[in-house]
Amino acid sequence: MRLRARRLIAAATALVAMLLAHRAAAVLAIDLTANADLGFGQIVATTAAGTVTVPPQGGRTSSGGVVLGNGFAASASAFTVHGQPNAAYSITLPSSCVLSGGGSSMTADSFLSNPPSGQNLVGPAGTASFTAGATLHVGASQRSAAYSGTYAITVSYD
Amino acid sequence: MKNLAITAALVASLGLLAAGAAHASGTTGSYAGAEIISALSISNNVGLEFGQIVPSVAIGTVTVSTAGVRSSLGGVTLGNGMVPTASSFAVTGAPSNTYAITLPTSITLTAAAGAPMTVDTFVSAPNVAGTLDVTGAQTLLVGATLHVGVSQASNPYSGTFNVTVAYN
Repeated sequence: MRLRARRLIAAATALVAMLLAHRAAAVLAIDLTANADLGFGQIVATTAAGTVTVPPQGGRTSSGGVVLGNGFAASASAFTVHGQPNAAYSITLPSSCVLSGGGSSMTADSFLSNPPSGQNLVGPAGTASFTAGATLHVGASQRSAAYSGTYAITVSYD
Repeated sequence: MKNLAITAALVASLGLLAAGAAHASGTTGSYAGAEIISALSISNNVGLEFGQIVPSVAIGTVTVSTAGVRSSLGGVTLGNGMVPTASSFAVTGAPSNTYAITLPTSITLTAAAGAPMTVDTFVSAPNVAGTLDVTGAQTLLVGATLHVGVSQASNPYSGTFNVTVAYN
């Protein structure tokens, strides 16, 4: 019985050692933190629909019947990735996001990231960062209001 | 006992695998925002008035500053039967927004009889660009220079000009 107990302890110890070894070799979990919001800034709607695009590199452009206001700056969103050093990862962007305000809504789509998904490596220090932008669709005579919405971005190991 | 140990090892391994799979991706929610604001508008409250002017055999100019102060050069004398004024505009839009101001290069004042007179060198206060206050309003003042010809015919002269403002 004593021998069996010793054997069992030895087996358990070996198992624990194995588990620890596995854990050390296991890929670190990847996680994502949002640092900056995607802001399309102030926009004047007209009787014609239009779009406002914030590229992932920042800046802002418009097309169609919208005029850009400037009471505050537009901004691309920014994210930090934490994961296994030098591991390749990819970014999954949303297809669209609804922004609501004042009883109305607008849609943002054409999300882009910089760097684009598929060219991403976690840095040697275990972190990486990327920015994202999108295109907002402003309706004809879109109601004046502050609009907001949320969207999800996912990173995963390749 | 041995079976139990093996079972425990298997369960532990499965747990490890499951834990590994759960950490292969990470998702975060992020915020997107935009503000639809009112369009800029501009309306004229006070016209640009050069007042009364006496011409002579020499040409001259009359300038009204954005503060409504009048001055002259050359062969003109200033009359005083009416008060000269800078033109005043009310600009309204979204609070704290800046906007660009476009002034005319020149316009012409005409009368029932007499050669037209040119108004140019338009100036504004604020100049070039304005900033709406926290209520979304700003007063824009405009002055200019009137060119009076030789022996310009006595008459009331008038004309119109456009000032354009745009978010920049």
